[in-house]
Amino acid sequence: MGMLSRVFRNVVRKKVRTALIVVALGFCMAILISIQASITANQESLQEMKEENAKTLQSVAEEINRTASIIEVFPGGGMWEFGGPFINESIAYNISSIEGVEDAIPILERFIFPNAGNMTKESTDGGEVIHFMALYKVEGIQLNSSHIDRILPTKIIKGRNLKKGDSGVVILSQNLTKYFDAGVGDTITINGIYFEVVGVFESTLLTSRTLYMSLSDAQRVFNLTGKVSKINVYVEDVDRVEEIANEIETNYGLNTITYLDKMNSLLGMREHMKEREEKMARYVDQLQSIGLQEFVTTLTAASVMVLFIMLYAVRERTKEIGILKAIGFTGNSILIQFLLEGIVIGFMGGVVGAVIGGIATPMLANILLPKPKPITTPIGYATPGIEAANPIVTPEMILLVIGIAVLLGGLGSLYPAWKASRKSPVEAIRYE
Amino acid sequence: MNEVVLKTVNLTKVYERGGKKIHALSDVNLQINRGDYVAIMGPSGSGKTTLLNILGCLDKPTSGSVIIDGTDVTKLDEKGLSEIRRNKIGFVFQAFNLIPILSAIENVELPMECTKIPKYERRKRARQLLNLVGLSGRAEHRPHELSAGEQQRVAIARALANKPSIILADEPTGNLDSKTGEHIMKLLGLLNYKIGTTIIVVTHDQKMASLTGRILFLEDGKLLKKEKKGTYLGRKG
Ligand SMILES: Nc1ncnc2c1ncn2[C@@H]1O[C@H](COP(=O)(O)OP(=O)(O)OP(=O)(O)O)[C@@H](O)[C@H]1O
Ligand SMILES: [Mg+2]
Repeated sequence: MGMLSRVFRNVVRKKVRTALIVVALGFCMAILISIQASITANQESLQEMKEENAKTLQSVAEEINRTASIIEVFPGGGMWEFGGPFINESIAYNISSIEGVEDAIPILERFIFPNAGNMTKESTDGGEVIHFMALYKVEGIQLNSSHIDRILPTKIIKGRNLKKGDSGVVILSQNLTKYFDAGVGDTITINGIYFEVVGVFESTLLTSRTLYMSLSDAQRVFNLTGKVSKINVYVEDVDRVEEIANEIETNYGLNTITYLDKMNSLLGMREHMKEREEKMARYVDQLQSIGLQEFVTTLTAASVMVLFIMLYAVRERTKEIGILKAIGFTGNSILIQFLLEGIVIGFMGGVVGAVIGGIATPMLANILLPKPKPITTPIGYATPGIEAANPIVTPEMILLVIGIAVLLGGLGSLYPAWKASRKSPVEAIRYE
Repeated sequence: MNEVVLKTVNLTKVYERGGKKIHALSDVNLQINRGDYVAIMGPSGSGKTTLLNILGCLDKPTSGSVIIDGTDVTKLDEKGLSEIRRNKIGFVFQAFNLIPILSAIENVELPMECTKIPKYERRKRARQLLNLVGLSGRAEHRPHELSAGEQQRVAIARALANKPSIILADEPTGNLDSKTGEHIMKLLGLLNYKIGTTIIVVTHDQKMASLTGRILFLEDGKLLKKEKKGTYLGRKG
């Protein structure tokens, strides 16, 4: 029969008091857990976003470098839509004979849409835009050209790349292997035509849902014999890119995009990524300041609660304190006893908090913390808006919170315990 | 032979209430020999409880001193006082004052908690003490499961836990019917006889007082010169 077992019995004896304070403390602790879990998750998500953006920018920059001497040629006229117009394949051969042009590779680039035409309307500052959600993109490439290695993906993870003379075969991006549930050696169908997968490539942000095949295969798939959507023109001298682009525009009435245009698009993309990062960082800041306020409020509420309940307990047990003193207990041992009671209750509250926190954290975080403001996403980038990360409760967090609860139990009962230890034995015994 | 275990010198306690001074004790000079079984009698408000509380180091006198086993306890600090309470004094209260969440034997063990007595020793000693007061079969019972007389016997066993020099009992029979009260007084006498503990009982019941060996009288905070012998003959008798 030691002090500890007496402490436990006192805690258990006052079931309603203990339950009340443990549940209340538990809720406070669960709130702490969910705030902390949410902030941590969002910080991690910001970090991930930064790393991902840096990687994407890097790969885009590499891509631009690689294509510095390219002129991308598109159909002329105003808007080019998904239904056309197209360029006649033969024009590619004409362009390739222009002086200073190394090679002109005709490409048929088409998107595959879901049957129902999955379009979403999205409100942006400029008004309403229709967002087409393509399932994936097909790039048909004239494989007889000498520069196909500059168009085809560079990093093959499995199987092989496309090569001259290939027919009836495709290479898939990593993402698309999941979509098709197919790998090297498997057969997939596109618009009812069978293809064998011969390779899988590591995709970048720009090619994450892309598959490559030969031009004639693509023309067959889309029923567009002799048509291409784009011609990649390789110029021998980088300094002559602008000049030749102008020549193509005037002679054939086509649109061109050059390195300079691409630079602008890179800048646009970087701008957009920066905006996302800043928004996310601001959101994390906001979470931290709101979280801190709620953290402080919760801690204060919890300690005041412990304080009052323990004060009440001390008052209620005044006579018992007097008896203990009369039979020789020192003020210190009485102080320790009440302190321990507070700590045991704090511990119980911490454990209950950990359980509630473990179960209800996503819900609590949802109630307690703000959501990020929506961000407008320009069409053409596969970058989504920012989202609140799902809070993750870690074992360290649970231990920390139990520690905090124990500390609160101790601190909250410090004054009541001190008061108990200083009671005059005569008056305490007379107390009814 | 007649060693003094407890002595007071000009013990005075003055309470102030609403600007009025109440002399609860005035110049009490008292001397108790080791092994005595003494009753202090007096009408209500005569200062009996006040005296006992001061003797038991629960309260401090306004002036004068209390000497227990040669130590002037009025000079001790709070820590020293709790040591005296723990080792020299055993209290028995009118309202028993057992700790309700503890069983009989745990209540008896409680005073030993602050001592160096090893755990198994405490349990053993508590059992012996319960045997001594005739409650060996009730060790695991909680106070509310015991009769009033049984509760008071547990309280007496608890008072004996640390082998005190003196047992101080404030109206130990006050909450008991006269027959049970008589049993308790006789039990105290038996313990005094068997282990020689000095016992001071406060009562205003003539019949209970007569069961001790020596009867002192307190009136208006003053100890009367007259003294009476009780029917208890003690170890010497
Ligand atoms: N804390 C106190 N403050 C003021 N006066 C007190 C206090 N305690 C006791 N007294 C007064 O001191 C006097 C002695 O009280 P005490 O309790 O010692 O009497 P008692 O002999 O034990 O009486 P009873 O037989 O009724 O128990 C009484 O007049 C009482 O009112
Ligand atoms: Mg009294």
